[in-house]
Amino acid sequence: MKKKSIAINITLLIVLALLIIACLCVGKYSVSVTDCFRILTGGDTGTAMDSKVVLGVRLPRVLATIVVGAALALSGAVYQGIFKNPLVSPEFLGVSSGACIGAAVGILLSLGGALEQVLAFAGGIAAVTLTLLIPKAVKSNSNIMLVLSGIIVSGAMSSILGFIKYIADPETELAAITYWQLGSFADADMPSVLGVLPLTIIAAVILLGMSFWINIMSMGEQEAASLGANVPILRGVCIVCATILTAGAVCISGTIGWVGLVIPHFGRMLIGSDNRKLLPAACTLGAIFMLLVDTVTRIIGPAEMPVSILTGIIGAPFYAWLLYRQRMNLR
Amino acid sequence: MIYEVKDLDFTYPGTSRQILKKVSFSLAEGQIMEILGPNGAGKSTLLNCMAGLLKPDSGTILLDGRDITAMSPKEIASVAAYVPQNHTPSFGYRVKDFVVMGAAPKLGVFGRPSEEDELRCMEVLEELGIDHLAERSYLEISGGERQQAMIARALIQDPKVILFDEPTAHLDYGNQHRMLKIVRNMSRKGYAVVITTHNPDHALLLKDNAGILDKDGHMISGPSEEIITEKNLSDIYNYELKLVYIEGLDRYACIAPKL
Repeated sequence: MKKKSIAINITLLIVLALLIIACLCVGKYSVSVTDCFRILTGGDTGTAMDSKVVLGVRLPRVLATIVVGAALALSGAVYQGIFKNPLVSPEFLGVSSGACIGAAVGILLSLGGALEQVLAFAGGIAAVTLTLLIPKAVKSNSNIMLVLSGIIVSGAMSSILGFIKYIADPETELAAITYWQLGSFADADMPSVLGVLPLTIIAAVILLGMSFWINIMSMGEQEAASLGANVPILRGVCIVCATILTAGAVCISGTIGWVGLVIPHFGRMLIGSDNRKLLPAACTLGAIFMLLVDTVTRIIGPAEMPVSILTGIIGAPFYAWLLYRQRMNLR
Repeated sequence: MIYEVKDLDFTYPGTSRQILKKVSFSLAEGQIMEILGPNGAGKSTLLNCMAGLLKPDSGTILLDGRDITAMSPKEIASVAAYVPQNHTPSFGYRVKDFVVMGAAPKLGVFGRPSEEDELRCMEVLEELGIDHLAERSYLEISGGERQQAMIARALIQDPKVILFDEPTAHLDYGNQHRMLKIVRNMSRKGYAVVITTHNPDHALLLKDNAGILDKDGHMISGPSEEIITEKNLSDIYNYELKLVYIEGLDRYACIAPKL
């Protein structure tokens, strides 16, 4: 059984690698696989146009989709685990709505890409911090209080965002904010990905390392404590890391729904619920899914469609199908 | 002594009703103690205090000679294992992945159970006669089997005492008694056992020690034959109950008179 899960994880990685090559090659300007390999290995670079498309445009974009897909799926799986609720998605503590406000403020002040990113990241972290402070203020440490407080913060944030949209210039700023909310990899460049990457990797490694304790946490607060878990600290570390992952993803691509909710379920169906196996699988599956979706948006139609539209169109029925498959296992 | 509980007071934060009042008792290694009491008397609350999950307002609990408030969750979990009431979990872990969670108290934040722990799990599952469930999903097995899986997990913790919170609730009549047999066998193997139950007959079957919590949060405790009396039972349940000696079985049974 152990061997089987390792085999699945390796297969997923191979699929991802093949997809990366394919996605570097396809598009409005297609590059042959052999040329692509040559360019990647730094050999004869073929035509200047080829290498510019592969290295300058598609590689950063592919890297961005992988990072975002993996980060969203991993943080979704972790949130679902520690809140022992398979219906939870990475957004529910308010990280996305906070990031939206950060980005919207950035757009309103025309601060430009990099600062906008920083503001989005900070907004996401600030929103989750606020969510975590409410249960402290009412002196209740339970999961349900945290979830309710997430609803409160998200609600308040969306009103603030509504206000920002209301005062924004409808021709330019409002459009930019709306596009940002729909998520896109069209503007993903190397600096923005590399800026987020170190923190993302650290958070991901910590969560993957804690996967056994995430199993324990999924037994519920009391049972986890009776198994020796220091629940507030473990939960805190998980939330901080998962929030960093989501906030990082959001500031590369804008908000993208469904990935963090659906992919962990798909992973569980494929490899089982044990987070020791599920978390790595969720990362790869998230990356594969995001890469596929982004490539589709890139090649269909005359203009690029925002990613969230497609993740929703694919994600919703897919989720319904997953629930149908798992109906025996849901209470 | 595995437990020395002295003058325990407990009130849930934000509420006015005091659940436990000056509760005191002690429990020796390898002994069983049944805790009886009417609904809402605080049986589970007491058990949670004993597992270090709730912090009493005053009074002390010595677990294996150490003040429980000075112990970390991991230290408590490696002495006292807690078997919660039957519940439906959210995720379908395989039974053996569930059982191996009992290895947690000796692992660090980034730790994972070793090959040895996995083997030990299979041994314990065999001992309990449920090794055929190892690969099954925890969501698909029956309530009785799940309870046994929880006991297996408790044994992996390698504790000195096992706390059972109403282990017979939600089980059918046969499984209830099978569960009691398992509990008795645990104590014969040297584990101390604390068990809360709604059924006085279970206390009569398990013997050793008993404690009765009343609605006001006071507890009387001692050898079970001194505590489980017609008068005490009729008082706490506020209902006339009889203890009847049954010849062929050589035991007393708690019986309610004709309605």
